[in-house]
Amino acid sequence: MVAIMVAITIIGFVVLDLVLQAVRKKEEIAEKQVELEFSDFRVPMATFFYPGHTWVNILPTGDVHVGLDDFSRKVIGNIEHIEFPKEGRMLKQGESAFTVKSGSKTLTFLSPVDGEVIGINRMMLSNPAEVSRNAYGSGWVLNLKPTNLSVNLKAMKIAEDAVAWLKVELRRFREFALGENLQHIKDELQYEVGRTSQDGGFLTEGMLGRMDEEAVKYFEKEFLGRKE
Amino acid sequence: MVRIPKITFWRIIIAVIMVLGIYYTVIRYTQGLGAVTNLSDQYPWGLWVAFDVITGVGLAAGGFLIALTVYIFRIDNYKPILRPAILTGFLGYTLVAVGLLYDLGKWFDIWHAIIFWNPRSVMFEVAWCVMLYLTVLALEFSTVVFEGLKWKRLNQLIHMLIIPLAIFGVILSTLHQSSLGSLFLIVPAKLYTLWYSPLLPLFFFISAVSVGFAMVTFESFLSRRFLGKGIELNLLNGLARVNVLVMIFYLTIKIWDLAGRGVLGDVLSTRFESIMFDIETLVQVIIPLVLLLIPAVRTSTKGLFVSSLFVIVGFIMNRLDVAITGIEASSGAHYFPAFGEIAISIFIVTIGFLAFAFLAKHFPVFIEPKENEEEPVEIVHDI
Repeated sequence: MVAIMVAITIIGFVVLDLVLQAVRKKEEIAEKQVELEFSDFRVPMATFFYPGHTWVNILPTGDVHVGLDDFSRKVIGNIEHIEFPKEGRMLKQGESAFTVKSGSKTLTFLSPVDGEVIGINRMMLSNPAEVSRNAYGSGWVLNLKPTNLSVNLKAMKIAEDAVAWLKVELRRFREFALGENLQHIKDELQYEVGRTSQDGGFLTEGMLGRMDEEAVKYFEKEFLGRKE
Repeated sequence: MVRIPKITFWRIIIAVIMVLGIYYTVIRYTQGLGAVTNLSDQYPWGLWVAFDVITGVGLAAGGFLIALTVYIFRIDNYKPILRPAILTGFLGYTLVAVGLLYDLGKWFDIWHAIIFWNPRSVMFEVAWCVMLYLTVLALEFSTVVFEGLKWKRLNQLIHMLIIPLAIFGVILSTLHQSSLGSLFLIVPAKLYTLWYSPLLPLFFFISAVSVGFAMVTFESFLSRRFLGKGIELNLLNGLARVNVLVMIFYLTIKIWDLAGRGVLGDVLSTRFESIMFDIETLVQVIIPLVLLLIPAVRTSTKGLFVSSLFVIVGFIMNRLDVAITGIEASSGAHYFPAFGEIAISIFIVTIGFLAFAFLAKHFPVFIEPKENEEEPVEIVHDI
């Protein structure tokens, strides 16, 4: 009986903590609905930004790290799964590179450079806290050996140009979220993103989860540069 | 200005545990064992010996396993989990000593083993091994403390001794982990047939290896949960793969031993002890083994967490079954711990958790991944 008592006590503590974590997670999701301001987005001055909302850091070895920028991370919210390309695969700039899944929604991101996939960052899934704390560092997704870097970099923004570009992107997203740019889509489409943003703010974390399929497609096309 | 900590559920629980622990500690040291425990002359070994000492030593085995991996096998990949594992081992053994101080009637004579030698006693060997290994763990962990305090010369001195220390630690651990099983070799007529075996020392050692790996995994999850530290999934996956082999070996010799002694049929008996043996074996070995043989489970954080929890709970059941359940029938006495015994055991474990959190916060227990060292300096421009 002593063994059963001790086993039940330990399992009881663990289960209790799991329940508490689940409750806290729900509360955190609710807290994240707080609207984000311009100042919540960061632009590291030495990082190249690709219009498809990925970034590129050139390593001392000449290889590059590719990741998701602050904007796309905030739109996605909680990253649940990433479909990485196989190591050794050759990617072209503008070609589908990896997909990110959150809830039932999936977004495809394009490669910002031409090159060979030489590494993938599994820590993206195993340690999301560290990754979100260090989005432009340890939060890289792919490690590529570039083959056409000088040409590829011309399509990217850096420093003040990147700041100006992201401001425009945020403005465009505001219009998208408020439905101002969606006149061509059926009127009956209800965009919760639009409804929740009427009171001044325009972006809350994890908005992807509250978009319908059509809005996700539109977002991919307009903001991530995905072709039909 | 005094900062009042935020009141959370776990802080309230810890406060209650501390108050009860201190209350029963005062009673135990002012009024004796009888006032706090259900121990008797027929049943002198209860929860404190079975859980805090015999189980505690096994649960702290992760320290020597990871030290063996890094210092002796030179597998440097496992360095990021070395320090937390050594700290867990050091605290585990310290708490074993604390548990003994509660359990010994004449606790003030605990030093007798150092002066009054009885080399024929298994307990003498265990006492010396635990004392020496605790010293080894303290020296191994001192590198972290010296690094935190920036005492470079002392740190260099310990670093010079680290390999001999690690070898000494592995030898001591091998000796006393198995000797805890030897303690029960003197009661062949009292311990239930499914648990009594001439191979008990071997079973104790192998199961300590298995639970040591599981504890390192479990401790990583606790560090993530309460300290926000990262999980080295690939390393834990590696430990899980080794543990699969350890568990297969354990299960094989267990079946071979039961069959060899002609008691294999007893596992189907409806006796309480047999049922407990079956549950223990399922939880400790069979279920986690099946889980870890599935690659998807072995490479997922949830899978590793659940399977390590199975191993740990099963291991604890095994030690408590050997020390309490298996002896109960022959002793002619029934034992269930008093509330004070349970409160003090939980109190001791809680002190271990708090000490770990304190040391991890104030000393470099967790080494940051190398990845960060190469990161570009981030000059951030708010827009």
